[in-house]
Amino acid sequence: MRLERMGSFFPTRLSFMRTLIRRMNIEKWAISAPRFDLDDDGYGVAVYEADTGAGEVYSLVCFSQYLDPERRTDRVIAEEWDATFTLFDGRPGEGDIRRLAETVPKQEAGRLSASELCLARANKSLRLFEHIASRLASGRQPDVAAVNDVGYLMRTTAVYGSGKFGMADRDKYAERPALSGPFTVEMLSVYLIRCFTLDLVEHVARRRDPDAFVPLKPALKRFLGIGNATGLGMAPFLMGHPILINNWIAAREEALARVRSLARADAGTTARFTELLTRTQQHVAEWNVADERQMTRILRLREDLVAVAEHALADDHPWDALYVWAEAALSLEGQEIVISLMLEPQGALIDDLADRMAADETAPIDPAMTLGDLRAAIAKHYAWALDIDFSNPFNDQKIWYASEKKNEPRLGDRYNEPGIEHEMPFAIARDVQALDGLLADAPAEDRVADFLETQPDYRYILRRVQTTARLPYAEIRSNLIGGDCLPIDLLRCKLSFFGADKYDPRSDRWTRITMYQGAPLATELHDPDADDWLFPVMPC
Amino acid sequence: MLMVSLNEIQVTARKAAQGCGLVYGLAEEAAVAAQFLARSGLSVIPLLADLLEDVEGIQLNPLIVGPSLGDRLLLDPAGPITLRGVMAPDLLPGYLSVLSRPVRISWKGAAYSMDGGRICQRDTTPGHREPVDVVAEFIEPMPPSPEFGTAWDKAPTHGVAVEPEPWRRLQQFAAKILVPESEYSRLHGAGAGFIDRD
Repeated sequence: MRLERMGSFFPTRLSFMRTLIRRMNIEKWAISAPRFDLDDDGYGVAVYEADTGAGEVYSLVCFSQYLDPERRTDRVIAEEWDATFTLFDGRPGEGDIRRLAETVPKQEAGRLSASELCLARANKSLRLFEHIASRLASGRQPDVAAVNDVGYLMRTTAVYGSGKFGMADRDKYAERPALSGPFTVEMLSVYLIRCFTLDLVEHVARRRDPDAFVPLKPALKRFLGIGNATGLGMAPFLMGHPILINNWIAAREEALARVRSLARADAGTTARFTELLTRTQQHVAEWNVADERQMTRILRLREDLVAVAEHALADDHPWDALYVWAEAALSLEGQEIVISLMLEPQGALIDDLADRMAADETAPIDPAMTLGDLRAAIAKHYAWALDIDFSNPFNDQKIWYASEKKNEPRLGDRYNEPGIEHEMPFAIARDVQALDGLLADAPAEDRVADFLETQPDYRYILRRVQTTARLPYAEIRSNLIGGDCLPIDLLRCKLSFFGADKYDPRSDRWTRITMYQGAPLATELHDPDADDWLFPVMPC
Repeated sequence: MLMVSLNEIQVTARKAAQGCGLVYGLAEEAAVAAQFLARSGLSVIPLLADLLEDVEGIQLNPLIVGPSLGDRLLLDPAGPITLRGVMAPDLLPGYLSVLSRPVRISWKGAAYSMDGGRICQRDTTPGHREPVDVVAEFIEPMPPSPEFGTAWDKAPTHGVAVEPEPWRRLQQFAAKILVPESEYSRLHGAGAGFIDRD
């Protein structure tokens, strides 16, 4: 799949946040806040519990503190935050809380234990937090347009899991059904952080003027998600987990294939599709960003949605006909939003595919493969890479590296930034070309094992080729070191699988997004319509 | 002792191997081998640090020859595959852990039998320091080992204990792949190019 297409994805009902909320709804999870010790300004400790009802409890321990505005930054290199969090496996005792109070606010500089599953931090949206707090404290609701303009009270700037900083490895909990899906621990943590931010703003407002205070209306609460400032940190994960990415995209493509194969659309499904389409048009009308490229795409998307609304569904294989029409008539984002809409009413048909989205990244090399077959695999799956002219410096202009400063992934200019000696292994197209060049001069009947004994440098790229030959979506079919590479497309792809929306690019390598906007509140998780929150709209 | 996660072992080992000059593919496999042995309850960090300290100087360094051992065995499953004159072979069993068939690797003073990606039996006689001939071959299925099974299951729930000094050495090796901070890099390499804090 090409990066341009992946950078146009939208969330679907198979996104991880959606899957988690559905599970919480079906299994009747209970969310509570057994501890909420915050001062008048909202600083202190809180604990939120998620009880799965099946003997498992997960606790988000929250530390809220004063942050000097001059010290506030969303970059990985930050050292202080408005709030820091950890997801504890079970119920933390007082000793645990004391230990975590020492280490969690330090984030990457602290050490956690295998009792902790996730580490995160968040900064306030200064604009919106103060607006809402002051309004509620004076007995009024916030301005809906202001809420829509931001969409969240706080935004996370990193959410770590999987054994980082001494935390529990994924293998500790991967067999538990509640946490077996990809990034479920992180998605649960972010949901509980959302709960905390909603309670925090009401708490601060109530303490300012207990007599005048009014709580936030549920519809407005629901419209507040959690923001996230996403940078290049996600890129190494995507590149280092090709089998996982394949499984995510394969599940999506299988879902689409199942829906397209339906011979007829019943009246209920058609009505639901139409209802969703109307809501989506409003959602996109409310989506405005400062980034010129993205705003141009949004304007085109609005036109596309009008065209979809005017397009009559066929009687025979209506969803397939819609998809084929969309491919020809709509922009990439238009096509992708149509896919999200087509999948949405088909839960009974496709929700099982959520169970196929985990992966074991073990990919042993097949040493018996002949070099002739290897070269054929390159020709079949990497023709796009062989066509790139790497004698043109534009095509290898970019270089990915990790900074000494907190290991922050960065993107540099190979020709104008000297001193970058260790490059991250993202130059797939260039390395495949080099491999193909060597293979062209080698006997076709030789085996991979023979080749690698004398050419061990090619072990990594050879494994990737073999993996892609088995799993067609494992490789991003774009040159990630080219001058025209937009890292933001990589980020959006992963974020869409998380379930994030309202992409708000701030550069070609940094985007704000909103998570859980429109999602049911903790008190609404058992409601029959708890799963209906794709593309939410501003409350009246 | 210091407690670390399996993920930290794998990532630190990989970066340390890269920092000591191993190409990414070899570094990846060294990290998988190290993590396997650590999860099996074996002390691998000092060994890995020593092997990385002198990648080229160690005769038939497992970091270099380890991946090919598994390749050769798969290519010639009737085996056995022999590597002659290997110094410090103790990392080699980790490389065979990815094979799906039961396998035995042995040298003078040690033998490891593995099945289902787990060590089932390990026999060692300490004190051997000379280069040895290593033999690897597929074997009949083995019953699981309670000792190694316990260590394997415990690692993700409790972490792994590692020796602090060799761990620090690995971290120092890993730091070699990081690019020094510069004002230009800080402003342009990531983020929005400004302090994003509205």
